[in-house]
Amino acid sequence: MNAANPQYEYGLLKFGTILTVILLVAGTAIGTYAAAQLAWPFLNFDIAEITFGRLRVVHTNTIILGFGGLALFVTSLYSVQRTNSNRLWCVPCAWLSALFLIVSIVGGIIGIAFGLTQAREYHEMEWIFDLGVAIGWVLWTMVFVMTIATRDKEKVPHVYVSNWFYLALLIAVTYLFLVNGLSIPVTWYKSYSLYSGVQDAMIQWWWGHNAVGFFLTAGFLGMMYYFVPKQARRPVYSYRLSVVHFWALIFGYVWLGAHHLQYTAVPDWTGSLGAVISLAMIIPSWGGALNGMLTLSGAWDRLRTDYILRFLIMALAFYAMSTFEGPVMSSKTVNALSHYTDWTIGHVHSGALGWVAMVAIGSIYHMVMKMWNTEMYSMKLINVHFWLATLGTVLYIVAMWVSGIMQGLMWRAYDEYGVLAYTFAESVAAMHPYYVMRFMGGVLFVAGALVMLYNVAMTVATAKSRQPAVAAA
Amino acid sequence: MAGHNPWPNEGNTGHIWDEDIRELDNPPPLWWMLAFYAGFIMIIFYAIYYPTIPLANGFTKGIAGWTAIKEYEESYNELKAWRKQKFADKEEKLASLPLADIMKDTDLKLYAVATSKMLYGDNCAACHGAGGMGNPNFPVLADDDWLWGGHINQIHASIANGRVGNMPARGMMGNLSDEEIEQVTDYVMALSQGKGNDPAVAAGKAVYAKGMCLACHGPNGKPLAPNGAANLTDQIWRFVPFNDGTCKSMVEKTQRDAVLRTIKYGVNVKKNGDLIDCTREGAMPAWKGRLSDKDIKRLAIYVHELGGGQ
Ligand code: HEC
Ligand code: HEC
Ligand code: HEM
Ligand code: HEM
Repeated sequence: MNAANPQYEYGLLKFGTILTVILLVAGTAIGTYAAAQLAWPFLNFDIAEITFGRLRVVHTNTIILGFGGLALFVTSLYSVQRTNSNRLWCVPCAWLSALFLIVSIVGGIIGIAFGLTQAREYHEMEWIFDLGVAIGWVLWTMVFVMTIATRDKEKVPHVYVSNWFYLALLIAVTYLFLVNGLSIPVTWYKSYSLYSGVQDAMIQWWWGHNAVGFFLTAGFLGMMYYFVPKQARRPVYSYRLSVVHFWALIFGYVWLGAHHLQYTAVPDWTGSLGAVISLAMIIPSWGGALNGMLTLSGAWDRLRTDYILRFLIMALAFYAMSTFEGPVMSSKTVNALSHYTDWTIGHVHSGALGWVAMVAIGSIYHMVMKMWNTEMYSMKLINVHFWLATLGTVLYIVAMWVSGIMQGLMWRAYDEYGVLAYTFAESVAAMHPYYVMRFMGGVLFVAGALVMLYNVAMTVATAKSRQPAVAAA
Repeated sequence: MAGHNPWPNEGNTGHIWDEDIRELDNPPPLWWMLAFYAGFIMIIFYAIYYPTIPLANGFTKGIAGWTAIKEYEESYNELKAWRKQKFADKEEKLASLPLADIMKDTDLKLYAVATSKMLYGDNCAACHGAGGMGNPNFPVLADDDWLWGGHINQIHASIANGRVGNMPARGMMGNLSDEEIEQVTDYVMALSQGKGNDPAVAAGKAVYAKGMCLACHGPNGKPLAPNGAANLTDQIWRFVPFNDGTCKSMVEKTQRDAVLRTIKYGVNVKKNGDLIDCTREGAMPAWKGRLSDKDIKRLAIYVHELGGGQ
């Protein structure tokens, strides 16, 4: 029986999966609280550690590095074993890697709440925690690569595409993270970056965009390539498509950073290059979305009954949407309006909630059933979760589109005297209803995450008693 | 593995992983491939048009001659030219005429007010509130109750040079007892209701004289000439109960508490260079040098026209 295959290492992954779900709840709850503070500022109660400026960074770190990172960690080590029919190489190394990652990330996040930061976006934690993350990351890469390298090449001659994407993630983030993090420590908790001025901005967004491109995109595409065909029990639509869009993404993404710096002091050519390569990225991105969706062709009806598949396919729809939106926002004309506004925040979360979180959630449900070798405690609750998450996401991004575009238009509006028509404070006041709406979207999304935590916990608790008789035999 | 392919007629590549993952041999959809190549062609055209390609020294400039700063300057200059064409004469007069003359020209006055909204909103509203409606600790500008005078030149001076009001704690000599402060507080509260001569507050009235409050606030609670001290005969309070954490020794619940605090701890009272606990804090920053002379004039007219100019 495959699911109970004793050759695979699941202990660490079971632990990691449960922690991932907990981090999903924590990260989105913190995000929702931050959203509430934007609507009702008194909610920071004048406590420095939970003021918006810090809470926001705690949110991004908890949800991206914590939830996203751990989701990638467990799904990569789960699928690499199964697609190579090989047990994890050096299980103690994998545990050590998890230990380094978890301790450093949690330490880094607590540090941020207390004001220790390098002030580099998506790379805020101080050098000492950085170092821990780097060690954990390299160990993870080693375990992953060696699990592929030591497979039985007779039995598994080809490396499956999910593994290419995970590998791209592991390799790219290693060098991006290290280069961006170069700094001179002056105390245990304080360091100064090696870069300054324009170089600093360029390096920062070279990292920043690739955190999106490799961390939130390539890695999660790896997840998609394993879990979609597995859950749909259908072959991947096109091998050739996966080859073409893989290489196009890998070569394309590293040039995009400057689209975060349009109309700033960086040289003009960098912005143009970032914009045009971004536009050219729509089609390669859609390659992934298409390949996933067409995998379902002939099995669409399964969406009616398979709630896990719904998560995976909804994720692909949001992926296609946000990878169209992003390139449009890269163009100079649109960016001149959208930059600094909530439109960017909306784009972020259509990718983050719609794509990253949904694909991870679907994959985790699949993995829980396989690893504990049982059905979920309640399939109905998965459906409830699906609707809460979808509604929450839609509320969030619609609110941000409206408020973002409104902000952009208010800031540039002139009156009949050629004077700006609105003060900044007026534009802030106009955002209030949309901030409330975003907060409500967040509440729905967190409610869904709590339903998931409950469902997973109950599944684990009752797994033994409900295991199918055949499998147990 | 191909030999064991359990799905031979499916058109798959023959690779199988994890028991049932396989890949079909479909070509990518035609429209997708076409769009994919179109992307590359677009890159070429874009790179010819815009500055895009780095060279050993410098970068290709693009045939459009586009630069970000040029785009900005062009649109800014366009606006400036439009404004100049429509409003050059008014702007010219605002800059050169003395305020008294501007105030006689209704048209010009309205123009100054109309073009001040943003200036006020971005620079002043944070303290004085939207439309000059005031905030706790900051004076209302939309009424006719002035600390430093409501004549256009006085308002202009307030804005250009800034203002700091000072009031000593516990009266001019700093020697009022707690009991006397209670009494004079009652007197001030009565004054604000027009009951200053009520025999019930006679004791407080005496303290008012003893503390030499009249030197600043005037003999009947109304300053003889604007000097920064408040008119105490109305119900307009700048310092309202507002427990913002600047006062550890007392909690303000009522307006009477707020008045008592002001009398007990004064306004902007410093010791060794630092404000003492509970003293009222607040200074009007000077805007000369930060805003252009013309914009300060504009704002003076705006504030004057908010409702209370004299
Ligand atoms: C940092 C807060 C702050 C800002 C910003 C500020 N003010 Fe003031 N302003 C004050 C305070 C405090 C006073 C009262 C000063 C005093 O008497 O102690 C004051 C007084 C005034 C007065 C005199 C009021 C009177 O009753 O005589 C005028 C007029 C005025 N401000 C106009 C402006 C204008 C116009 C701007 C914008 C350019 C502005 N202020 C910006 C704090 C501020
Ligand atoms: C040196 C001049 C001076 C003296 C003496 C003085 N004050 Fe004041 N007082 C001020 C100034 C300046 C302010 C601040 C005005 C403002 O911004 O409202 C003020 C404010 C006040 C306020 C608050 C008004 C409000 O709107 O909240 C009260 C009440 C007050 N004084 C009462 C007194 C009493 C009672 C005495 C005598 C014990 C006294 N003052 C003595 C200058 C003085
Ligand atoms: C309940 C769900 C969530 C809520 C309510 C929420 C809320 C927020 C808020 C209020 C901000 C700050 C926006 C601002 O500064 O104006 C933010 C930023 C951010 N969030 Fe979330 N978030 C949620 C889930 C997620 C998830 C799942 C991810 C990633 C996987 C994520 C990634 C980010 C990122 C990257 C930013 C920074 C955006 C930027 O700097 O442009 N969020 N979020
Ligand atoms: C081809 C695909 C994409 C392109 C070209 C793209 C482009 C962009 C652009 C132009 C911005 C705004 C820059 C600014 O004005 O500041 C942006 C911001 C962002 N995007 Fe995307 N995007 C893409 C896909 C995605 C996806 C799938 C995610 C997944 C979560 C994502 C996450 C983010 C984040 C987190 C930011 C905010 C960065 C910050 O300012 O902190 N993007 N992206």
